[in-house]
Amino acid sequence: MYKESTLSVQISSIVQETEHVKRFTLEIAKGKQLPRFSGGSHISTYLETPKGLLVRQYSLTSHPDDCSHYEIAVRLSEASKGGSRIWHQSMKVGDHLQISYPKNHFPLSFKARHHVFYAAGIGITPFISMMQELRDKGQTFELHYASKSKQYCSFYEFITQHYSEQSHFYFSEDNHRIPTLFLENHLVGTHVYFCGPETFIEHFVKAAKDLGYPKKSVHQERFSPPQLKRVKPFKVSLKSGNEIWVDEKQSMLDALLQHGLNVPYSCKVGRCGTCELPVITGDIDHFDFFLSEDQQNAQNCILPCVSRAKSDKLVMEIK
Amino acid sequence: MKNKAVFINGKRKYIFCGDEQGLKLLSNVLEKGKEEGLTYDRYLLSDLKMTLLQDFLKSQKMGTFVYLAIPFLVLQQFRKALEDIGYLEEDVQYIGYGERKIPVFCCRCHEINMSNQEQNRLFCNRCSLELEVSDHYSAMHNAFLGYVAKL
Amino acid sequence: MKWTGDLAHFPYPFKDSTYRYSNNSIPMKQPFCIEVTPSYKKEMLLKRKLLSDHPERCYQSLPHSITGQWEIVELLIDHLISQYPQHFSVEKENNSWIFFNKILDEKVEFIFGDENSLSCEPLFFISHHVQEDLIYMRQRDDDLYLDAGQLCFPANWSLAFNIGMKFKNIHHPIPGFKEEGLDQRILQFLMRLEAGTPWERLNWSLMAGDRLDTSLETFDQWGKLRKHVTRENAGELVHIRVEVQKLFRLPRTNSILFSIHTHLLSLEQLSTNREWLQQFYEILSELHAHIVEYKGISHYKASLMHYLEEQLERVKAT
Repeated sequence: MYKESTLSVQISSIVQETEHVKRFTLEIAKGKQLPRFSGGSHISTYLETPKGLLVRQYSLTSHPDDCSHYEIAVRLSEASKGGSRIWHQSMKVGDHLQISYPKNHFPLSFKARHHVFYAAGIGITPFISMMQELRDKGQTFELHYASKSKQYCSFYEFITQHYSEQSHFYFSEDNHRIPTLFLENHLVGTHVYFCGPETFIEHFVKAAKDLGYPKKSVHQERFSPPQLKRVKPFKVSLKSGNEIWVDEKQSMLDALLQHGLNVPYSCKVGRCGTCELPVITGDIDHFDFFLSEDQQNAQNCILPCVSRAKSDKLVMEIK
Repeated sequence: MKNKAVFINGKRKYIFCGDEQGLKLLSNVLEKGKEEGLTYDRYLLSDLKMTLLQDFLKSQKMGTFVYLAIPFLVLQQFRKALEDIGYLEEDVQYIGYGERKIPVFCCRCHEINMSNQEQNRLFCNRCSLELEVSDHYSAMHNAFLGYVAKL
Repeated sequence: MKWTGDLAHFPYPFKDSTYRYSNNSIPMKQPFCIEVTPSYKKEMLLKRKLLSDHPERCYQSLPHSITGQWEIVELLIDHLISQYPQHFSVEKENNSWIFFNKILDEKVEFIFGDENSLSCEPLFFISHHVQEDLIYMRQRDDDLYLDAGQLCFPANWSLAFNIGMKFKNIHHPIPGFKEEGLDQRILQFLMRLEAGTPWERLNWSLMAGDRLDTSLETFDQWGKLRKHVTRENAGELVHIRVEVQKLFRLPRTNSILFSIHTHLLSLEQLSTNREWLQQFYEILSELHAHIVEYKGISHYKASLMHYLEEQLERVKAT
């Protein structure tokens, strides 16, 4: 199976942040250094399980210039396919694991004159390092953070201690929600960033669009692949003549990998473009955030980690 | 940089800004805005001074779209000011009119020379090298690259 | 200065008998962005003279590139000491660093991250210790910008003109590059480049003469030699110029470092390898006219082909 180059780390501490969230500190061997990273970066973690390797992405919440350790925060997801459950139930202080180098699919805008972060729940995590970076650069920002209650609010103490002037909390238990109306008040030159559940992001992205925000001022980070609205099974036909069946429960990438095809991939949420493959014929349903509109319309390539066939069959340029 | 304003849909507010001649060039989009009952401001830039306009543009909210129509000769400095405020390329249509000078970057000494639109060869003011004007453009220098015209 | 190419270490750039523009990048086997060759001392002398005599031509940076410049210093020193421990070392105490260059018998003390602790910008400093040219492309707002660079040995382009420019604009003068959609593909490829997985590619061109410094600024001087190529002198005068370009993601500023190591070899030397001679001749024979023009060969292509044919006949006769 394709695997990127990785770093070997050890869990040095585990903190129960809230009832559902644990923070893990990852250290590199003495004498070595972890790479610095930019605000908004994440890593892939590789978990060895009896069923094979589980790859999961988590934002880095430590200081971007701290080369001695990284920190991630993991929420135990009820719908967990294993990743967060293993982190919560099996991982112990002293355990070793492989992680990727830091990557950033959610960078701060350079052109922005003011940054506004909208977070819901565990969607707070990428903003922790982004706020740090902006503070170091002396740029202005504000945070609007929705959570169930103070008790369930990850990083509450940390944020109130370090960014009290910039931060606003909205607890649904108190019937407080972040109104999309806020988007009406941002001055020209503001960039907005959304991170949280799919419905939260969609709601805010639509509101910004309706107001006439240019696309480039609106940034979003998804932790899970986008919800597919029309999922159906299809066939992939290879150059070798072989055909591979993709059922409605799996991604095309997973199907190809299962059949032993050496397809490089990385993010698995349609962001990085690593798994792009050429398509000869067939209608493609694009769900990625990597290809440009023109490239998607050309219907000659696909990111199999999220995209699928509209037609019954895709004929591929791969062996 | 365009010669004619094109109407852009879906913005919460429009600003039509220009000197007298410039506003005439915007009349088609301004009429369209009126017809559709959109929120807009008309801003007469009578003396082509930036300070007041800058304060006005800074106080606008996200979702504002600007049409700016002024002589080509001052367009670049206005564009720079708008970008500094935080207006993206997508937020503004720049409409130029009148005389146009083409800035040409000397490949040997880096001097920026002003050439007429029709001229495709000129001598550098500083090092006297004969330059051939290319279509390679630098936004940072706001200039086109001038190559050695003759070996 | 007469250039003697190093035949044994020459990065011969061709695989097939045809050449087209492509993204010919491959993952690096040894992830080091610098190489110290036997001509280190000679090249450092030349490079330092250029940097001090023509700083505007050889060095450019935008104010917001400083953090990225430190990142380059950290990466380069790390690669120098891990690959050439006999030549380079560093002592670190917190942020106080002492860097030793044993080839040139030099010692530099500075505080990492503190610009005032060096007498120049960080990229300018580290440029004085590596043979490579160093180009820093910052990824911002979904594009790549040339935000800093040290360029002593350019293949006919101007760093001073290109500073601050977007990736596609930089490559605008390459004929066919945009039309084939390659600029967009390569930009996307670069933007998905990840830390820990560096790539490299080779780029080639031909030149009349043997100077490493073929800047656009001095084209009026060295370009003239193109007119002096004859079938008799082509072997000695015409050189193939190969750039080994290495691409590293710098994760702190989410930018990309291009290191460019330039190698020159006279056609006379190239012709001593029979396979290379044959393949190179085939490539030139069918090279598209727009590439011939862009690579600066059109002035002397006929003389060059004559020369290569003579060489081929000579080889066949032996």
